Amino acid sequence: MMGRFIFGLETEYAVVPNRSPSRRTGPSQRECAEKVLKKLRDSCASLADNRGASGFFISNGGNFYIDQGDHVEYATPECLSPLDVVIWDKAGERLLERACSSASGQLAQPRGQGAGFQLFKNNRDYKGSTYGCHENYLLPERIDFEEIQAQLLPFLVTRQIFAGAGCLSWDPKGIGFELSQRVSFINKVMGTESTHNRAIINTREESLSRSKYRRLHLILGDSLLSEWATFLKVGTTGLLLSMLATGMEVNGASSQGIHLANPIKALRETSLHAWPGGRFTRTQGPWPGSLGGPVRIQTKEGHELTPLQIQRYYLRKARGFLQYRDAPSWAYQVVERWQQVLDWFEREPEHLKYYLDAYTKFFLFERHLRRKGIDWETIRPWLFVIHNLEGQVPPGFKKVRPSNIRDFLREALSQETFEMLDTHVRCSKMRWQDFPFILECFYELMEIDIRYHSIDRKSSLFYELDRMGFLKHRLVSEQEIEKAQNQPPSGTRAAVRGRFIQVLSGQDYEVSWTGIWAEEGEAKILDLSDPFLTDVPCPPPGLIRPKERPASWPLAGQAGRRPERLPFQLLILFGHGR
Amino acid sequence: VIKVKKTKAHPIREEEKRKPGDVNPISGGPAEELSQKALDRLRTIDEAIEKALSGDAERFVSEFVQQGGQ
Repeated sequence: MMGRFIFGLETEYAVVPNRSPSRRTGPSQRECAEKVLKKLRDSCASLADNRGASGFFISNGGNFYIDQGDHVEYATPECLSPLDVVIWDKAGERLLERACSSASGQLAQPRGQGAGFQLFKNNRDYKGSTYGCHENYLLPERIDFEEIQAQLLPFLVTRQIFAGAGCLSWDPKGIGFELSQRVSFINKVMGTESTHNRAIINTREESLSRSKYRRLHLILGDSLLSEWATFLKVGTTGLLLSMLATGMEVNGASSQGIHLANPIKALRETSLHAWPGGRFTRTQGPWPGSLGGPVRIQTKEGHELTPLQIQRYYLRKARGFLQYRDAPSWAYQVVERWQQVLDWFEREPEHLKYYLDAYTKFFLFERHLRRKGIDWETIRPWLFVIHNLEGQVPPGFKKVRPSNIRDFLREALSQETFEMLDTHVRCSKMRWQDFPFILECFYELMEIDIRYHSIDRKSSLFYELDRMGFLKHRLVSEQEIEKAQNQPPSGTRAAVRGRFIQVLSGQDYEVSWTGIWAEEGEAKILDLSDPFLTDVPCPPPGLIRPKERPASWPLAGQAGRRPERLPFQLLILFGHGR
Repeated sequence: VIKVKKTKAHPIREEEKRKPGDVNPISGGPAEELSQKALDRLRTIDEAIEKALSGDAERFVSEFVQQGGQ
């Protein structure tokens, strides 16, 4: 019998109010997030989330709420295949796009100054904040986090070569492209925290199911728009985990396997330098040639491996799994696409930009620089100036003619600062009159990065490329996505949850991942702690009191008691996600 | 382990040195023989980028400020 495996994704969306240029006022991020969720709830069959706060579940089995930092969060229902994850992830994106468009209109600025706010599916601003896209994988309880670390760590560190969203990366010494938006916020291998000291493997013990299961919660991944990239991110990870679940080894012990000497260093170096467009520094030059690239990851065994070699090692193991009857039905699709992107990465990198977010974005950066007639090396010497002026570019700077910039800065800055910058400009053989143009290009790269991730298909750069037929990332149809906006995936408890919500919507019930609760009497009327539960008769319309619940509905004795509500702050502390 | 020789050439400059028929990793076509169709497509992409930009990127980026999430 083929193995069954459950996945899910939780994505935090950035909410960005549009402010009037003249008044610099507008709705707060929280206000906008609440408007979106209200609009969404009004338009969908839904029941309240029994963890309180602002959340609710909808009839596709998924969950919406406002998470820490006033981000709108969507958690997909439990899915049985990576393709289902893609479909239900996109369904949430479309629901939010529609709700945002509608709610935003209500907050529109006067005199046509634009929509009230926008939603972005990315993982960082350029001010040092991050927000996540968390993955969930259901495993047997016997597989502990130490085993996951031993078996999967090298894979997780290097999977960003196809699962990264890409971003601009810079410091006073260098500028360039980074494969992952998220890895610079990951600073340890294992840990429970999700708002600081984030780890590659999150060890939060919260299975949200019966005791025989464990939920692996990964918080190192990027939010992706490409369907290929999402499919590969969850598909490859899920396939290796399903091998573990069947008792197979994916990374050999001792010298037979790969054990990283410094996983965090390897994670960051892969993000920065596995690609020839990686950040250029004074000490490490750019790297044309094989995209296997210059990164050499040190192993405890004394070897030096490229990210590509590590991925190929895991791919070989996964291909070997295909011959076993325990291999999931989707395993072949995953292995084939995995092989394809690694082959492209090594031999035909020009194909990657049509399929994977990071490379599409790198292509956009390169196009923009070319059109401006400059390259990364043109910007690099100016980073010292940009860094030292950051946050203190004098008012009126933009109105000064380029030929007068030097005089303007001499007047506006302290003598010490000006002399330091002026010396740097002279010694680097640069001209002050070029500075406004370089600064504009520098910020435009960041704007391209952010605009790429808008979920508004009319203004998103990603969707514009998709519309013009440039991208080849699609795996699912718009009809499948449309259908998934109000129907749950089959084969998991999400199907039961979705059916109940469809019938009971608008009534006084509350829902969690593990059950449905009647407000009256505060008792659980349906136990959903079995993640594979599907065989529950559909509820009759109308209010069902706890005593009237049919005997055929599962109800765990212990789980029949409603948990006490936690105050919102505590929910944040313990994590509000699944 | 494949050894990669370090070079000081910039990828873009390296690309410019490629011979006709070589694959261009940036544009995706042969380095110096892009078809009119490919050139038109690149122009369309350039226009899409230009259209997406606000005209005041510094302000846009400075206002794209989020609180830290999970």
